[in-house]
Order: sequence, then structure tokens, then C-alpha cells
Amino acid sequence: MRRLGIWPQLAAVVALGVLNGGCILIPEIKDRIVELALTGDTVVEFHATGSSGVIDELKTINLRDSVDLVKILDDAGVDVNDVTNIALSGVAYRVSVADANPSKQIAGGSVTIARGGGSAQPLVTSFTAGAGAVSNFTTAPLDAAGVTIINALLTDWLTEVQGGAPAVTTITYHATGTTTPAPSTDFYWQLKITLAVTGKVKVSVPD
Amino acid sequence: MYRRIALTIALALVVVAGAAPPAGAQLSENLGPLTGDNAKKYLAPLPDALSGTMNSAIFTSGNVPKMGLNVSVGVKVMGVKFADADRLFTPTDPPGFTSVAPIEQVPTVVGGTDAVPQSGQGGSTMYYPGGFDIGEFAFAAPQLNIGSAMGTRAVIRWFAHDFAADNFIEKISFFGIGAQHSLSQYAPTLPLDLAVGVFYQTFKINEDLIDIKTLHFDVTGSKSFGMLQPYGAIGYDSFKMDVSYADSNNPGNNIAVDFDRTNHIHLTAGLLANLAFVKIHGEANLAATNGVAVGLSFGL
Repeated sequence: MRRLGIWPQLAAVVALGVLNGGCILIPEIKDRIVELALTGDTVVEFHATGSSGVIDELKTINLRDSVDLVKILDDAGVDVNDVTNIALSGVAYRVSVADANPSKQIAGGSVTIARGGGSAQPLVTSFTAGAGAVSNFTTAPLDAAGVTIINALLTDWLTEVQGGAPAVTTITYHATGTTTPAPSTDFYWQLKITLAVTGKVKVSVPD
Repeated sequence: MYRRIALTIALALVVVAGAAPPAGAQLSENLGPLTGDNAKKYLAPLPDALSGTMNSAIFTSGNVPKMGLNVSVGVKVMGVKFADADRLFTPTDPPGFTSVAPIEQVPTVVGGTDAVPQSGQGGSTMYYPGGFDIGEFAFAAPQLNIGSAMGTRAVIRWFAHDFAADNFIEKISFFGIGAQHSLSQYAPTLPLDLAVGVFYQTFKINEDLIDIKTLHFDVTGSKSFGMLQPYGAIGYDSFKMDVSYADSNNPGNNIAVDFDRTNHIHLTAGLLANLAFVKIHGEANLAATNGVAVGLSFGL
């Protein structure tokens, strides 16, 4: 027993040293600047109807009415001046109300996009979709020309939100294509545009 | 010293979320844009880290008196280090996005803080959120031991706290209960004290955001040399974690991510010092993630 007299104190010193040594057991609070990735989307619905078997429909929206960019940032605690990127992350389509004919299809579907009074550019090209049943969103084949228009709009919009010049945020979709089989067609389909935004926030992290 | 320990207890319990309570940036915001599949990959380092820490430092002696009052209360702190491989994952394209080469590796919850862009078809870009750049992970737990009757002691861990409503971590609740039963009493000629233990724990953050359940079994052996008591254990950990978060792509909807149950052998070697009414121990653990733990308790 006497031979062990030093060991309890030694054990205590070691244990206290471990506790107090800044080791993994005692996390320090460190500040981190973390870059969040946020998303927002807008959905526009088209109505394919008639007996011609032709889809030809225009839709105009104002993106600022469809996507509340400021709220997205506020909800995440991101100051608008700390936004680092904004871009189109994807476009998807789906049938929202099915045609009565279960074999009905959209063939050769395409969508062009024009910003404000600008020229139309292809956004979605050559897509086909079954219209006889309601479907989930499917990734649309994109054309870089249309993507460039949306990205330019988003950049200008962010500049406006950050105190810069007002941006033109209206866009006009022009959907075209055919429906088969003929003759009568009556279904709804949707196009969803998803935006990605990144922004930095300060976080205290135990590490 | 006390301040650091107190800070550890308060903050190590929320380190799982990667952010201290006042943080404006929040785990749920990082998860929100991720599909369930990618959220699972983003959080993938957590289950093993939590399993390795939560299931450590529960039983620190094989000596369980057959009868008599012995009570101790204290704090256990368990820590692990994350490996470099834990910091990145390869994401799965979410609906509406088709990636093009090169496919980027993106941060997990413990990875780098910068968001990573992935180029997509037609010039689209998908951004994946940054992590919280966490290299180490600690978990603290108050623990109460009460014994003993028929060579059995009860062990309880608990912690609960409500943070302010505007904080991400609004509520934490942690509870563990188990028992350790002496095997030595049936074989008095054994050269060491031996006991079998079982311990069940639940840990919830914001009710359902992260919901964890663990079960730990072990056999602990120890032998006293004066005030010092080396101990060792062989055990088994079972760990289940479920996550549910708001889907920012579909407001009003939640994404549920069920992680597969994991099971691991758990080996422990440690040293306990009985200093009158103070007990101090330190141990090393080979488990889901290897780590160390210490504990300080007071009592008989």
C-alpha cells in the first residue's frame, strides 16, 4: 500500500492534465465562416389542349414574384451582401394532370426563354414525356443558350438586391411540340426551374 | 478548469450539430437543399463518432459489491478524431440536375467550409454546402451510479436543455439507463473482479431532427492495487440514427433519412483512481471510432 502512495496523486495529475490540455476531450470554441447552399424554385404550368396535336403556348412570369430571394436568404441567416454565387441549378418537367388517353405523349417538346423584350433562346430541347399519367419531375435536357439568359438575369437580380441597378426579371417561356396519338388532347404539364444560391455565415463550432 | 468542463458539457452535447447554440448558420439549413441520399452522405461521419463516444466510459470497474450503499455522480467526457476520409463524399445528382465531368467531391458535415460547385448539363451549376470543419468530436454525459443489491448497480445518464426558440438547437434531450451485475460473486476464486453490463441510451436534438438510440453490452474486468484499479472490457455496441429535416425544395415537406443500424465490437482499457470520495478514470477505446475518455465523479 505504501509503495503505491504516489500513484493516486500521479493519476490525478495525469487526469487533470488530460482534461486541461486542450485535447480532443475539451473542444475549443472556434469561429468558422461556413458557405451555405440554398435553393429556390419556380413552377410554371402549361395546358395542352385541342385537337390539332400541336403544343404552342406562351407563359410570362416575373421571377421576383415567384421566388422570394430575400426571404430565402433571411431564413438561412445569410446577409444579402454575403451571397457568393447564384445560378440555375436545373430544370425539370412533369405531367400534373393526366390526359384521358393513357398512351398520350409529348413528342419533340422544347421550350425557349426570353428575358424582358429580348430574343428567345432555347432552354429545353427535344424532350418526350408520357402524358397519360401524372408523373414526378424529370430532369430536362438543357441548352446552354437559355441557361446563359437565366444566369445573367440572376446575377443582375442579385446586384439589385445588394443595392445595385434594377434588374429585368420577367421571362417568357414558349413551349412547343406535338402530342400523340391524335386527335383530342387535354392535359397539364409543369416546368420547374431551380436556382442555387450560396452565402457565407459565421458559426461558432466546438472543435 | 471548472469553466472548461462546464463549457464542454454544454457544448459537446451539441457538437453533433456542428454549431454552438447561438450560431446563425444551422445544420438544417445545410441539409435543406440536399436530397435524402445526399443528406445521408453529408452526415455519414456522425454515426460512428457518436457510437464510439456515447458507448464509452459507462462501466469503469468490474467490482460491484454484493450489497450495500454505493453512490457516485460525475461527468464522463468521450472524444474521437475524424479521419481525412470523413471529410468528403461524392454526391448523387438530385432530381432536375445532371452532372458533367469532372465529378466533384464535396464536404461532409465535418469537412471544409466552402460550398462546392458541380457543373451540370447545359451550363447549369449545383452547389453543395460546406461543412463545419470539425477535426475532433467530443461527447459529455453526467452519470449517476447507484448500488448495490444482489451484486447489481444501476447506471443512469441524463441531460436535457431547452435553448431559445430562435436558435437552431431548440432542445436537446439525452437519457441513458442500464445496470452492471457482478459475475465475481459466483466465482470468488477469480483473480479479478468481473461484471457484465448493459446500457441503453437515447439522444434527441430538436425532437426529430436527429434521433439516436444505442445499446451497449460489455464484460468488464478490473483488479485493485491500492487506490489504483486498472480495468478492461470487451463489449458490443449497437447504434441507430434517424434524421428528419425540412425539404427546402418542397416547402412543407420533411425528408426522413434512416441510417442503417451499425454494430461494432468495443474494447476498452483504462485506469481508475479511487481517491477517497473522488474517482478519476481515463480509458482508451477501440470501437466504431477509436477514441479516449475521462471521467470525474464523487461519491462512495
